[in-house]
Amino acid sequence: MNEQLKAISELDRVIHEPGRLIIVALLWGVKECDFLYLLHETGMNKGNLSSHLTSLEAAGYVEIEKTYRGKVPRTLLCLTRAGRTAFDRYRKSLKAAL
Amino acid sequence: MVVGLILLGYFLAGYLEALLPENSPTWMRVVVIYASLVMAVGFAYWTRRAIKRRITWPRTGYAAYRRGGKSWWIKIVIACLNVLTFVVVLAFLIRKGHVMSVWNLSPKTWNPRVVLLIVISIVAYAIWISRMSGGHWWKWLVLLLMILGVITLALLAPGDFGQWARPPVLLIAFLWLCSAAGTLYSYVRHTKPATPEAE
Repeated sequence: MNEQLKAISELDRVIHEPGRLIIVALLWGVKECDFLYLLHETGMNKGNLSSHLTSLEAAGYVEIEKTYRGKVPRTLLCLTRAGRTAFDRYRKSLKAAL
Repeated sequence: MVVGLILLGYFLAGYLEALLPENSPTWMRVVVIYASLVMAVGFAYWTRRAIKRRITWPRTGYAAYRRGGKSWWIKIVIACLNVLTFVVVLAFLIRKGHVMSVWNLSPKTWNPRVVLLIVISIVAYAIWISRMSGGHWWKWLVLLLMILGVITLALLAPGDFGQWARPPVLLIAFLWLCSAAGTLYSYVRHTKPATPEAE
């Protein structure tokens, strides 16, 4: 297998999924955001977005904090340090692969 | 909106300073001018924050953008240098006994600061809408109104330069604020607050 194909096969599968890639790319640009912001920016439905966030949280890339603003529930999200490192590595690998 | 409010503060500063008696001490003129500007900036900051909390965040969500990185630090350094230059020049002028008047009331002398402010405000609006108009074609009409309005006022307004310059600054401030109100109205029309369901 040549080096470029090897680089493609070694891409992080958690981030490489299109939906999760959009989410991680958005979170990379912010310190933190809420669920509604991601819903609006990604155009996904709530179930789909929740499912991807659960996968990213399980991989340790995203931190989810459920809180309240007054009486209204609010979910705050941010990339963990591992998530930022993983995304930086993913970007470099993708550039190398292409 | 912020630019419109700051221009309004600038207009108010000049207007209030012109109302002071002729023999008012320099420190009083400086206080009136800069208190007006500080109040305008403070009000602009508070209004922007209130709009975000009550209108924007409940509709399209909350995000705190990252700061840091080389370009952000460059902006901070430039802002600090601007403030430092401003303070040094102000201190120098006060020490030399010059009145820091935003409106030069001499009938034969144009105040380049005011002319520059008017030109920069119009150019800034043009740049802003060319980059950020996002389908709001009516903003180009506002720009045309701004240019035609300033020219019309320049031709029709009587009096010396100080009296002439106030209406254009007020017009530009008013149009910036109308543009902001139009954008906000369009945003509110096309979005709705999210229902507080489980996420």
